[in-house]
Amino acid sequence: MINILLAFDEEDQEIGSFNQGCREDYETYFTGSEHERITYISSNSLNSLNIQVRTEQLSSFIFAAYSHGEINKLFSKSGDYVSSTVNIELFKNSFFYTVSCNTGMQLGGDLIANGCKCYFGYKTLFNSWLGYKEFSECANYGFFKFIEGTNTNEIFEQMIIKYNQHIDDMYVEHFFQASLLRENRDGLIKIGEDITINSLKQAI
Amino acid sequence: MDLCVLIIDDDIQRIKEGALIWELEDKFGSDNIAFESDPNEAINYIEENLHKNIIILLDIQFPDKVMNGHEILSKIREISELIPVILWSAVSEDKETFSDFINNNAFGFLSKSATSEEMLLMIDRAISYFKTSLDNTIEDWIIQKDGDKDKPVYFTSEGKSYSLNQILNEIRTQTDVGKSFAKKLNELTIDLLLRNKETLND
Repeated sequence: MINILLAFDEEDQEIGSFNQGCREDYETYFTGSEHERITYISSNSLNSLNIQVRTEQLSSFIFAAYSHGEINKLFSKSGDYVSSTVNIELFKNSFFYTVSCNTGMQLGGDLIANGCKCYFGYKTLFNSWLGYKEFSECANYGFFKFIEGTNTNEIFEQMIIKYNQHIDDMYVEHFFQASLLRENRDGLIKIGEDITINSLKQAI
Repeated sequence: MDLCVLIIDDDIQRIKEGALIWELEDKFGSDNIAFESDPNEAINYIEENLHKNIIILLDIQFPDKVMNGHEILSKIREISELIPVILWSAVSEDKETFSDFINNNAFGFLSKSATSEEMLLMIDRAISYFKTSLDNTIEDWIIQKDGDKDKPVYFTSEGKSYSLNQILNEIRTQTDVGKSFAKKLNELTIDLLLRNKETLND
């Protein structure tokens, strides 16, 4: 059994509905699942203290975060909850998966330098368009593949394929949204080791 | 395509009596031909009509006015890079100072002695520019969309959100965000070509 911490800033004024939709996809995905310990962290408890309390006793875990981001931090209305300067050392032996803007520019590398095993995120803006599930499907896809046992190098390749499938299905009728999805695809970045969920469990 | 020709000239009365105006009104309809003799009023007109595709015929010399054609073009470019501005002058082309016109992306130069055919040919080129520019493709796509265009639909995890009307405004005023939409479409096109999903037509 491995702990899975899932942070969703679902109350944010701009991206809350997207994050909420992604959270519902996660809940659906994990419905009936009994083999992992899953903790959801909502907007009202999305702060650095809660992250510290949740993570500091864990020798290895999986962390996903859907919120605003900048190059060196993730943040919500409560402030920075993951930051290169505040709590980067909490993520040793973790798989870190985030759908947020620009954290691939610095935070991802800082996490790996501080013992995180593997980081997935975006080095550009992350775009979404109301009513288009393609954005959340692509965003969530890699995380679910990791839970299913796929190794992270393969996950990265499969996420690109997933993005391409949706871009190709959309661009004739919905060229504007397809152009944003392409930007998300090219912003996707993986940093760190090629791991699987099983190799992470062995570190517990 | 919602199109308007704006003539900015200090001698509007003489222009209105010319054959060219009859031809423009015949081609585009009299409601779609606008005249401004005051540069400031012209700037106001442009700002209030950014929802239209405006083609501007701009006189260069404005005696006794606050701005000349050089300065007016510069002001227009502060509003939008997308408006084709055709310089229209009695001063011959070889005697004009063109460096700032080039820098401010003037669409073309016409002598006031040009024939109606030459003028209409230049305007047709401007219309063709509208039809083929990526920004206008996006504009047309947004204009044709149904539903509430003031409701935010596009979000970034950086914390920005835009409705269709806001996107349209960003494009028309050519902000960095507005310019980025055309860039994204160019990048999508290149991506589709490189992955052999599309080919260039001859």
